[in-house]
Amino acid sequence: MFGLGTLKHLMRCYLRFAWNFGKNVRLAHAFRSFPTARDVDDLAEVIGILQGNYVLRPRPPADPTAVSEAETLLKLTTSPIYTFAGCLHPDLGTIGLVIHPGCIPRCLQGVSRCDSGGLAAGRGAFANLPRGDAAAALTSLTCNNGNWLREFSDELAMSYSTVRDYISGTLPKHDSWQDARSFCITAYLAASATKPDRRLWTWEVRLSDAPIPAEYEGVVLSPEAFKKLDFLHRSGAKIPPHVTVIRGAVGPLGVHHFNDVQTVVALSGRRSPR
Amino acid sequence: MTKFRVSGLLDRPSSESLGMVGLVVEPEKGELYSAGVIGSSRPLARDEFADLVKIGDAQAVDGPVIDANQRNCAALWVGNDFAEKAERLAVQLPPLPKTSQILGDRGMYWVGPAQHIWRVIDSWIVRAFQRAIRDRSEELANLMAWALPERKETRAALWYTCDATKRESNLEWWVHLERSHGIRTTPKALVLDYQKSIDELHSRKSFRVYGFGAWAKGGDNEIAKFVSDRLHTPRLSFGQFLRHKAELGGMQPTRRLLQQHGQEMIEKYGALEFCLEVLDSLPLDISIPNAQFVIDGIRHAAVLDSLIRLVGEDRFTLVFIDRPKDVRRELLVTEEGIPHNEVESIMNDSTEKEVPIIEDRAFAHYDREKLGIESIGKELVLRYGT
Repeated sequence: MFGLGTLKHLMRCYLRFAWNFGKNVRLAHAFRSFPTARDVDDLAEVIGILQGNYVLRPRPPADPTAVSEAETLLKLTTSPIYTFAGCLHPDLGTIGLVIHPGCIPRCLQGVSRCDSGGLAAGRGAFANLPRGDAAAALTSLTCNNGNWLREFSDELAMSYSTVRDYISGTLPKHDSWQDARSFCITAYLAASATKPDRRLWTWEVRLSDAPIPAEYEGVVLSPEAFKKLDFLHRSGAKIPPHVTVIRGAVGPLGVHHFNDVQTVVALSGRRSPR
Repeated sequence: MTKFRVSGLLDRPSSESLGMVGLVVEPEKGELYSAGVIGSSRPLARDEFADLVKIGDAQAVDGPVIDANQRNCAALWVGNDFAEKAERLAVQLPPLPKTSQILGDRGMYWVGPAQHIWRVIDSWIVRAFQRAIRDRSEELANLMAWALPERKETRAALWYTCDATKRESNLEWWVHLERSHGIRTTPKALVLDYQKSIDELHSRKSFRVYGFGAWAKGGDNEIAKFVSDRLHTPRLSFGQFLRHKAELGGMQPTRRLLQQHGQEMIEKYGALEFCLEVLDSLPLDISIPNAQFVIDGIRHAAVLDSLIRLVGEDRFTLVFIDRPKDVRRELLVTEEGIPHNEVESIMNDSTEKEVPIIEDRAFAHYDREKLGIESIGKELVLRYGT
């Protein structure tokens, strides 16, 4: 007779086989306009990208030191476009793009199981890792491109109850990982009552080329960013009809930066009714 | 009491916009926190805040200090272009407290409880809707979209005031937005909804909101009570608010103490915040411009201005109740036990200084001694629906 542990393992294997856990998870890119952009310039650029008039390009990063260190360790000669699988970071940002994973075969530069810049430069909870170990850790946490989706799916199935838990930033079950991430999470939790930054375990997907317009599935906006997009659309700069527009809102309790429910739905690859 | 300094504003509001934005706050010693953001109010690492500022998703400010036990706080943002257009289109915002701060050349912000900031924005939208429909003003409808673009009033105003081509295009856009949020709808269903809102506005009978002002012991509160009882509407009172607050704090609510606390409220938090604290008694699901109530104890011009701008100048009706000085002096002694040698200082307190301005701006004046409570009250009740 099988024990309970074996039954659970068999069930997980079945689920992975049957549903390929996480295969529909979308990529999310926190759009950054140039700091000098005034008023509606940033949203005008986003609409241009969605329409296909402009191409999404890598922007100078907010933390150039960390990104530079990571790109050196990863032996990158050109800066990629950074996305996270199923995560729009920062959660206090203003504009995000939701991208269909169909772009990956054409555009993929590389995948790491965490924020590569944070690991390379010892940011946040990664500071618990000895600096000398960063290079080896990043190498071991970076996937072989052809196999990354299977590894992503396996990790989601082992570490979360549902794909939504991953997308919502739930602290994962990490005991079986036995890698630098697990070490840093454990060290952080021993010293702090708060949850560590989810970039510790959120998968970073780097693109060497921009998605095509049809691959932009959604745009996620803070309340103020939405006002600008609304103004531009009603002034004639049209959002393509296939793009879901998810907006934050304000009310008596405060500000919803992004609509949490709809953002999770979009990032999980489920479609809103049309 | 722990205090926090406001170190940043979240989001990137435009000079065209009126809105609510979250805060980055810093205790006297310690981490940064985000505040006013639902679901994301949390510690914020300094490098994360620096990243947000660098990419323009937040602005660093040298903001006011707020009390830790204040309610969930956020910032009201008023863009310069928005304020100018609102003024020109005669739907002004209430005057912001002197604690509000200018941010570059784009606008200004005021930090307060999120519920109060919401009240200000909500009040403006409802008043703007009434005027946009009445004047058929597409410009005002467009301005509403820079405050709350997803509000039904904004969309109804845009639909009502624009031409047929824009109507069709706007309806398609709004259907797209609703469906993005999981709501199935059609242009026809939206049109029916907007038309219904406009029809309700046209058919709604408008009632006055009576505000009462008087000197100390002028008798405005008895008349306010009479009117509110007859009209079956809530009575709000600045004096009662202060009395209740004093009692909660374990203090004896003497006239002197209430005068002192009233002046402190004005000086520390500003007239707008004082008004909104008193208006907190109103149900949150009723916008202030649509609410029915009477309010007494108005003694400051800025309080009056705030009430007019929150309620709407076409509804708010200021009534001044006068009473001879010697009668009031006598009542302070006999009814409140004020010693004779303190009466003059009570009657000349700083909270009485602007009463002449209130008297001057009143729509109606009544002499309490000559006419009596019932006579004044009945006349006001008769004029209620005009």
